Amino acid sequence: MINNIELSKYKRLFTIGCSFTEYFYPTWANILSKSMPDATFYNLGLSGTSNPFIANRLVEANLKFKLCETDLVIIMWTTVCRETHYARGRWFKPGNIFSQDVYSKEFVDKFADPDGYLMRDLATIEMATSYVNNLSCDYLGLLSTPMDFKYTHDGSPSCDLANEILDTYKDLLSTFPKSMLELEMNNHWEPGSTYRSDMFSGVREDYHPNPIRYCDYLIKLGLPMTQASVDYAEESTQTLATITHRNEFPIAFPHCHNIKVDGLW
Amino acid sequence: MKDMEYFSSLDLSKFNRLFTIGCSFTSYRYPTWANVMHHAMPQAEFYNLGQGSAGNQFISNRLTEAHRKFNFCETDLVMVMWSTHCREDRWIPGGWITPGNIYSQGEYDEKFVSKYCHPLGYLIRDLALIDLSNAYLSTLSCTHVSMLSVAFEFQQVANDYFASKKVLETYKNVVDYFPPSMLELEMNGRWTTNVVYEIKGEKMPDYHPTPLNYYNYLKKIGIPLNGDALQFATQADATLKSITSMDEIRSEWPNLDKPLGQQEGFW
Repeated sequence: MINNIELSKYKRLFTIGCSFTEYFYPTWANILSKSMPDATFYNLGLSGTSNPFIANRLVEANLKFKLCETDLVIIMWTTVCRETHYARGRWFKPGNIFSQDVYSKEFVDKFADPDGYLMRDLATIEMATSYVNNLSCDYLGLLSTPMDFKYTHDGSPSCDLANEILDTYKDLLSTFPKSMLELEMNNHWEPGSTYRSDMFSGVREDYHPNPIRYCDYLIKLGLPMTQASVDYAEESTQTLATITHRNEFPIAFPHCHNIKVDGLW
Repeated sequence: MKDMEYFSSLDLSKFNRLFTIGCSFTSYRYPTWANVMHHAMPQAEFYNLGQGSAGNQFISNRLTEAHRKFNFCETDLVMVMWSTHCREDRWIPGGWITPGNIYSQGEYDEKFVSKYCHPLGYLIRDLALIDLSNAYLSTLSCTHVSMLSVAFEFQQVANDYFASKKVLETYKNVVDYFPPSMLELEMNGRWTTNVVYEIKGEKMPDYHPTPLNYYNYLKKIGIPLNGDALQFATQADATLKSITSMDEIRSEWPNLDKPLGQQEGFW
């Protein structure tokens, strides 16, 4: 699919994922959209979110946008140890459950288990993959990290069943190309940017990849990226390097902010 | 929509395996629709993968896991009865925690419930999950039947009526996919107490349908049940109504509500 893809045939591009897809500076989704200038771009990703949310948004997008043969849907699935809840008009989506401060410690100690999240997410991804493959749109499934990825030093308990769970879903996993972390970052979290913020003291090293990294990943996957994408990734990365404070991002990358798509929950 | 014509055209004798998945309406301390189906298909191996108090998260997970482990094929009948949506299921070491209705359970604390739990959020979560599951089942070579214990509309909360109506309109394809629910078609939309029995010295009313209720429901949606199924349901119903204590239920139907899944190598 990736090697034969003809980006010019699509009228709409839908991207879904976590902060690797929707962030306050350009991601692979923004970069890819530059290679598809004639397509309307819907970035339905949500920073901090989980794989069940991503699957939920896929179904909602199909029902609301009536996905068809001139649509390209690309999902970059996220890491598994995450929670999302929709309550009183907003999504709670604080990212890795073992390093967040939204859900209580009591909740995490009692209910958060890497094996449990892995079996939940592989079942969800299996159904979502089957669902989107039976729609008339084209679909690419990507991974931000390998499915058994675990952050080090986040205090999460050990995985006792991970190998068994991965083996149960091995043919599903074989449909994915190598993840962003493996293929582009050699399994090493290298900060894509550094900045200060009023929300924390000192300088934060942000582990999200920089735009050039995302662009390189898409090229390594075999996607026919145009010079417009390469130029945009380089310019964005240069801009990113000049930023010193979190407040500067909305000015530097206004199109990466306020991206809520009308009508979606 | 899978209508009565579809259900009545099912040839139950052709199946070698029957898989049933759901909540306590499926796997309970006394016989449910799943057990009635089993008696209508004596030639088929019976796998009741339901679990008491389970929500739709558990059900969809168990569905994919069952396919992965049993490799559903054309001689399998897979039947799912979806649960109500205000539930939180999680797997932790030792198995699935399925405490039932989030507003009347004892696993999650009040802070969690008041901050993260909302009927509209659960409706949004579960309608997508059920849509995914129905689509998934449609791609498999097995025959499948999907049912609802309670209609989605019956689970709306008054002050979220308009918001949930919008969600239900978006998911019209899911809502219309099902025959009328068990609660609507067989129980006239009311939770009535069918049996009362003693548990630890206290008389407990039980709102679950009786075996004959389940039989009637399957018949009403068009499932071609045979005389053996009726005889089983009638006998089980009479036995249940004569019972006065939980000990008698355990003695009559030992281990009926013990999740089969966990005995058969399921997570």
